[in-house]
Amino acid sequence: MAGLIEIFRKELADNFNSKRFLILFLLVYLAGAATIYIAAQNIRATVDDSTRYIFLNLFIVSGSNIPFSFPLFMSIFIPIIGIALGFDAVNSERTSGNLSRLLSQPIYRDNVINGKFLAGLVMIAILIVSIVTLVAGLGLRMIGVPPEAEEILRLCMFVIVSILYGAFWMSLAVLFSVVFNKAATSALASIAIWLFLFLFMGLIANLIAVTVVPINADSTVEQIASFDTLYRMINRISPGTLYVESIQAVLLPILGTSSPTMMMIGIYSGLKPTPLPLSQSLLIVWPQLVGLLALTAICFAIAYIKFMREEIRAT
Amino acid sequence: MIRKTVLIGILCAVALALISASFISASPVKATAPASKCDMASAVLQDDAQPTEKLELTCQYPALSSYAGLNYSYSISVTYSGGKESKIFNLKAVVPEGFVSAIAPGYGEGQEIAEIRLDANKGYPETVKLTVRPYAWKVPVPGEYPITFEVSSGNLKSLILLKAIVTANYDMKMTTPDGRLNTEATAGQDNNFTVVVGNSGSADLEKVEVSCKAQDRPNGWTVTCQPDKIDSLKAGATKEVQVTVKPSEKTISGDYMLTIQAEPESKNAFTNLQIRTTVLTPTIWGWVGVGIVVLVIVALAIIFIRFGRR
Amino acid sequence: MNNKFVIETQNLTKKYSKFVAVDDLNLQILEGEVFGFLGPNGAGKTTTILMLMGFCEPTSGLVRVNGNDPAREPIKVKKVVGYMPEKIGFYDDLTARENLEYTGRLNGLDSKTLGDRIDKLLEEVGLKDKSGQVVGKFSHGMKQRLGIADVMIKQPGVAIFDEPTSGIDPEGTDQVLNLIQDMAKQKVTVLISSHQLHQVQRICTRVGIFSKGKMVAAGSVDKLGRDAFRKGKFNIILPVAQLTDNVRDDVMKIPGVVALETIANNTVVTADDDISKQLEDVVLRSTGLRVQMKVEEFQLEEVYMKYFKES
Repeated sequence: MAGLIEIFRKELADNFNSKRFLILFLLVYLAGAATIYIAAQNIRATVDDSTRYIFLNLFIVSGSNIPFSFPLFMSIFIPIIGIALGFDAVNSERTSGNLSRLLSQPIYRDNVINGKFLAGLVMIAILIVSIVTLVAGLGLRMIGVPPEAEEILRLCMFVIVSILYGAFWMSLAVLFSVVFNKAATSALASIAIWLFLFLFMGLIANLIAVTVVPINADSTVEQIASFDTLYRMINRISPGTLYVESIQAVLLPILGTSSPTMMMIGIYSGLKPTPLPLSQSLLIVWPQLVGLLALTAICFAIAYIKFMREEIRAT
Repeated sequence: MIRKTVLIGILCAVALALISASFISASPVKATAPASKCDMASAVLQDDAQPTEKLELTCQYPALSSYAGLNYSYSISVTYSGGKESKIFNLKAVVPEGFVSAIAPGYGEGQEIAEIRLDANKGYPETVKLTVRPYAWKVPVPGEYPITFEVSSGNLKSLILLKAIVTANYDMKMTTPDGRLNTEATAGQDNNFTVVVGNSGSADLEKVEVSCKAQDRPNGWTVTCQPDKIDSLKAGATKEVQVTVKPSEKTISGDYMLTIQAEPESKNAFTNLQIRTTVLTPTIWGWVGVGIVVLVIVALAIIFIRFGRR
Repeated sequence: MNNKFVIETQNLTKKYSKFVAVDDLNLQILEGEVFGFLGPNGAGKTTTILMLMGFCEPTSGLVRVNGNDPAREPIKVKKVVGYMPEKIGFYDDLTARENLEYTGRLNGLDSKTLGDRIDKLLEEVGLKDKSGQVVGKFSHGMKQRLGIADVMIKQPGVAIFDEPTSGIDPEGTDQVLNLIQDMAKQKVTVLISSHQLHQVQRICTRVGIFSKGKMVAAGSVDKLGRDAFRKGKFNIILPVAQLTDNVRDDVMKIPGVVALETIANNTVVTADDDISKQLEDVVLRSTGLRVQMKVEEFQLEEVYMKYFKES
């Protein structure tokens, strides 16, 4: 336990002292500033009398001519943070010759990987919690409308889901840092996976869904709906989709996890969206959250087992 | 919209001037002319000594009707005949108290004239323009005012009776006591400010309703006026109305427009006033917000110092 | 505690798929010994050390360090064993002191004890004035010396050094070896692996020679020499073909003489010490001849080479 705490502290100190994270912090705070700026410009226009959760709107307003919104930024940026925190966790220790020295100290071997993972997790948590509270504080100062208890809960959920998403990417990067001996290789592998999921997953999902359920202009609502269901089902392989759907349900109570397509159909069929209570929102995203958690756990478990089983060979 | 506002503003200003004028002035001259029928023919006086010498005054529109405060311009044709040579005549207008008059040639520049030379054998009449107008600071009470225009030379004299019908001018204006058209308000609380409703017309207004209609205020706001109904507002009188604005609890800080309007029951006058209401962040939430930001920064600093090296 | 084997292996074998890295190794190291692992690269020295540290599990056989199985009870083992890996590395962006502090804290030392120990150790390894420098700027020799401090910070009962002198200049080598020797004086059992024989010879009480996974010989350098050549450490060659029996007896009576034999036209006397003076006297007395003698001192190298020729 003592070993875990020491390694955790050392890793945390490393993170705080490295320029890498100075840059990440600055970038995140820049995004916070942009969020506040855009909220200041647009929140009055987005909010009308029927808006129930005004405070949440601070976080979801997007610029009318600037393609920026806080959730979009987070969904792109969190993977980068996670990868940056994890990609050289184990292999840098190995190549620098610190690993065997470290392991010859009276600590359990898993202390090393756990301590590193925990330090990364705390880093992500500090980043996300600080940015959300900063935006909330500045936003409160600006709009003067205090959040309701449910809004606070929803923001907490947003923070937790975001940390979880960061944890997934970090555990993937840690896994690669165990598998690949070179930090550059593991960084590239992580980024490659991220780019693949980010750029091509939608394309592939669309391709498969179109093949299975061909739709055209004459398609019935049922066909479009089944296409949409399939499309999103395939897309959910990507943790990014799980994250976006989760934060959508948490931050946009009206939407739930409905896709834009289904929203359109809903609007045409005259369904008026009403905000869901938090419990309902959570129920909707429960599978996504569990999926994200499971992916994180799987990646970390593989990394953990590989690291524990690994024999320190004579070089 | 802007033009309308400007217009209203100008009207208000004029009305204000007029109202202040009416405070100074004594009660206006009462209409005395009893004749209700339109006396188109002019009274003609003839000199018996010289039967051939004749002076005739005609006016095509001897009765003019206008709102108080405006000019009444009469075109009077003067025909002199039977004389041997040209003669100089005096021109004189008798107007009710509170009015001023000006006589000018029918055509040409606005030079005021007091006398006119008429040629006896001219085939056509001379035209003289008589302009009557109330004093700037005095708004005449609605009614009919007689005006006499007289042309004379020696014994030869002729007069014509004209009529100025002053119709009632219903006008209102609204402003704030200090002229500021913006106010500050805190969300979820009662915020007071005062507007002044004034009768800038020439007639009394009855049962003036002061209100802020639903479409004139942001949703969820309540705006109450105290009093919301002024039983009677005399011409030139003003009345302070206390407006209480309560922006809804969840109002985002910023500027909002409120339109307060006043209208008498008879609906013959109307005024409104746009008030820019700045909703301020409630002090407590402002501080809480700043507090949160400071807290986060301090917490980060502590974490950095505690867990970072050096 | 006497005669207690601090390090003990029984039939220790380690196979990497087909390749046998350590083959049926039996090793016993007593408390306070300075034991040298000798052998070329790939002879199984490092693999044995890794198994001693519990970094890899033996394919078969038994390992005991202080009576504990490093694979089952790694913490107990690592509490008493200090290990300096062959390619030692430090956190380059931390100072020497910070690196040592980290190791110390991982060993559960409190700041006070740690601070005192670091001061003392940095002084001992001659890095006192460099304690505030980041290790990234250290030379290889400085890093090795810091490595020794790093091993010593936990005040180990056993210190294992894997190739502590590889790649550093002779002066640095000397410093490192002196430090290790100082450690041995503090009742620390030292295990040192090297392919540089001179050093091992200088500081080791016992050596084990590794070849192809086997420890082909073990013992003090003297004993190894004797074992290898059935002789002492010194050979004194007399250019005399035959010696009479009583001369032989006289020679054998000289203390330290181990053997006497005739090789070609020479008589070779083997002894544990340099006895050429006494031998000269004996020969002069017996034969009246003043012979020219050639004294050969055995170097470990020769022993070493002999074993490799054999295996």
